[in-house]
Amino acid sequence: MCYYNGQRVTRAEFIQLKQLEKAVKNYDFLDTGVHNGFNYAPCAILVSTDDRRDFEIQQAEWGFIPGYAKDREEAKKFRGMYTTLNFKAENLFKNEAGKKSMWAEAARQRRCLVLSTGIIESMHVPTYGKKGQLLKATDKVPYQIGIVGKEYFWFAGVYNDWFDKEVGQWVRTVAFGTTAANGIMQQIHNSKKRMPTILTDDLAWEWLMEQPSEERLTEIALTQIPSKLMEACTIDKDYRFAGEATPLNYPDHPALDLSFVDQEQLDFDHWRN
Amino acid sequence: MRDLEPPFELHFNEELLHIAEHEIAGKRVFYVNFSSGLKPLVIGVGLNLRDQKFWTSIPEGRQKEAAAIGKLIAVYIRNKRK
Repeated sequence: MCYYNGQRVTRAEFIQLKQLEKAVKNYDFLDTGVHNGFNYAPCAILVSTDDRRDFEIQQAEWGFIPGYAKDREEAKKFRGMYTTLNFKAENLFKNEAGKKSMWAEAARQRRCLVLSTGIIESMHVPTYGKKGQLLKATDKVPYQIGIVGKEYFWFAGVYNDWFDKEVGQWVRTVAFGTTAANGIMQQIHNSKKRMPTILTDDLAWEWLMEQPSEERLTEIALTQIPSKLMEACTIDKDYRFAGEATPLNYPDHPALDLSFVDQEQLDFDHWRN
Repeated sequence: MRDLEPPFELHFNEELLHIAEHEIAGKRVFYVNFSSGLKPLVIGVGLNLRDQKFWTSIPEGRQKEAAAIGKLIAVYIRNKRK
């Protein structure tokens, strides 16, 4: 006879509840509505099993850390220097200088899918002084962007396991891919004109479970979701502190231009058909 | 089996609970966030020796809250079906 929370349960039930307890402990990202990358908080990823016949959901710290980082301090410096929350799909295997990129090995051997229920990006809006002159500072209007008809979707990601010597634990760290922005994201993320690589179910499967060539992996990582599949709304600026995105209308802020969406042509629209 | 509930809100002891259902390790659990900032609670259903279901906190230790909030969740789901 075993106990669980004051109730008498069978040994089998006790074991099952204890297993559940262990699983829940590994999922402390579940109560977070908004992940701020710069907090390097845990997020949910899908990783294939070793035999590539199945996959499992795990959690990883958002912000890739290479194996050679000696300690948290060095990892922090690395993340600060290279902003490893994301990788550019164009640089998956080769960096800007044409040399082997820091993502190459992970792209070959440690690919994953990063779960998302919505993206938050801010539009930079010019501000003007009292005399009507353009000021250097810009105002930011945050948007939450989702995919029409999908409660959640997947970014192409790569992960790396890093050993944190100070606590004697392996830490799984992750980065997801970005590609050239579609028309809506060019308007919203107008400072960088990039967007996450959001994959169709078929491409997500290929990325995670199969062994495509480097050329094919780059092609998948460059995937651009068309604007007409996205929905966007402005949200309260306190989302970082509130931990959730609350829709908010900014009366003086112009609406997004959606007139082009039916005619949009993208170089890597793998969502067509 | 019933579909996973989309996130919902309930009132409990004059505070608002944000609740989300998840399936983990083959079991359904509810993740309960308290608007007051109280530590989030995970609750699920166990089966006792008399084959009766009971609400339990996961991990153990917050049985009273689990039982009370679990009952509210059950009522909420039952009412939605009607």
